[in-house]
Amino acid sequence: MSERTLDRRGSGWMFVRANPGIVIGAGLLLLMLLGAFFAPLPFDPVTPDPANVMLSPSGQHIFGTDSNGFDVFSRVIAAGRRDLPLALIGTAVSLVIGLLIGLPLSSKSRYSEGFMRALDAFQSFPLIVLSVTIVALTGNNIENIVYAIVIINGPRFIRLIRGEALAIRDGRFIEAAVASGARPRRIVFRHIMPNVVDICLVQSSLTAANAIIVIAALNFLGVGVSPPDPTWGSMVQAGAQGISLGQWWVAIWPGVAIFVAIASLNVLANGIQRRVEGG
Amino acid sequence: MLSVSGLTTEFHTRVKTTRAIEDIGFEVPAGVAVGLVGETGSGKSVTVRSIMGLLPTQGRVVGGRAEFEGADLLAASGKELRSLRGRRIGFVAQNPFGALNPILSIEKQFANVVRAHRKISRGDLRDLAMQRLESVQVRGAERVLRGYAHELSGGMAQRVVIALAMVHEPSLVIADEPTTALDVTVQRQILDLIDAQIAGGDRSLLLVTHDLGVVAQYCQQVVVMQSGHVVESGAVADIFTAPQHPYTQQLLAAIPAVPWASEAVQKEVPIV
Repeated sequence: MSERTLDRRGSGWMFVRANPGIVIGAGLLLLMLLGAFFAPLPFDPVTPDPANVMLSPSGQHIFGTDSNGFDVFSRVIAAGRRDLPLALIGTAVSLVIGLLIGLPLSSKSRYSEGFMRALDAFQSFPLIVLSVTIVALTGNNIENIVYAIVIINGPRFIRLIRGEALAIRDGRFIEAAVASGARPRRIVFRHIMPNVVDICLVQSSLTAANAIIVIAALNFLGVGVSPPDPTWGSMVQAGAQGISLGQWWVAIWPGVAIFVAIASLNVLANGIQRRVEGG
Repeated sequence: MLSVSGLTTEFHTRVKTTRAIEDIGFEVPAGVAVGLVGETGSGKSVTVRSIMGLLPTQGRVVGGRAEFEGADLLAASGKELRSLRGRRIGFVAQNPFGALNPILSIEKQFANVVRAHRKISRGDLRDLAMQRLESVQVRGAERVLRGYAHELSGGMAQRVVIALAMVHEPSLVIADEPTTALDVTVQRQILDLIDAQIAGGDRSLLLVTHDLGVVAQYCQQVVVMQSGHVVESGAVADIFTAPQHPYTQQLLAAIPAVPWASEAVQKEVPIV
């Protein structure tokens, strides 16, 4: 070990310089989250104003107003209260399920192969249709949106983590762990799991981006919406008819918000990937 | 201490079954270092892996016994085997960088090895790890503990592996070509270190190697393997002076003569 071993913490600025993707992606996301919960909004997002309906963007209503006289800007910001935490919770649940099922399945037993084939069959369904059906059948509440995200992304995590763990299991250091008398559960969670943290971080950002699309799609279809609370998906839906009449602002701005959220998550994922690969 | 008899291991694939080792038998008495020698592919590693229960999934022990501290390692339940591995039997693998987890700090790896068998507080663990590292002559043990495998030199990494294997003070150490992956200049140091860890007391060593010179220097007994069979075994002194089996004779003849004994070489090689 050399005397010049780098100080792992480094300074904050060094981190920013070395990881612009992580900083920009996570920063934008944090800004959207904080804004959704704490930013002072120019208008109340859930109080209709019948006197000011369908105003185009102006100095007062910078994103305009919709057919109920809601201020679009306030609603776009406030929608983050619902969409972002739901996406993050759905991602976290998918990740935990992926770890709990994917890691133990990394043994090459016949049982685990069977499970993977069953998962193949399950994934061959158009999952977004499946999840809409499930949500429609089980009732229109928020938890069901989380289930929908997990149905779509849980199998992806399981597959990814199992694949990675299989490769790691062949490593000599796992053999050494076996030779040290470690129990299978210890090997899985203490020796293998730390090695999949990297890819889990990358996949989690991508999953969160996907979750935002799923939420928007479900909300667009009217699933999991409780009017007048704003969501990006339901706002796009509400404004969709107006586009042909030239009232573009009602649908475009929530669309832009969805784009920014997804783009920042993808930038974050890319940044983590680069850091992991030591680029 | 360790008594192996009739050990036979096969490898199964869909199309055929290969018998890698057959009817292997040898003893590792308490306090004795035994060298297991043979050329590449002679079945040394398969023998050791069979005993340790580390065969790949295609491998299967089809017969024999390996008695150790009153248990048959080949018939032991998973639980029994786990309680012996690491705790009573230490294993030193060939490539230290392979044997160390690349993304866990050395301290974490000590924690994993120790906690596989007993509970230990963080402070006690640190003290134990420091003491073990110092016993294998790792300088700057504190920094090594904080660091990762890739920051270590080959010799250092193998010292750490040896320290990890010795943490539970096992009565038997199995070393599978512990110096093959290392620079020649540190090979001797590592072997001396293993030797020192064994010396004194009843600790035994099973040293797998293809280097008869190493066996002559560090072992009291030797088992010679060829194509999956034990062809000769006995005390080092006997076998080196009077090898019975033609294969052993060839192996001994293959040891290169010490070049600097020749005056001609001395003249040719410029002194730097």
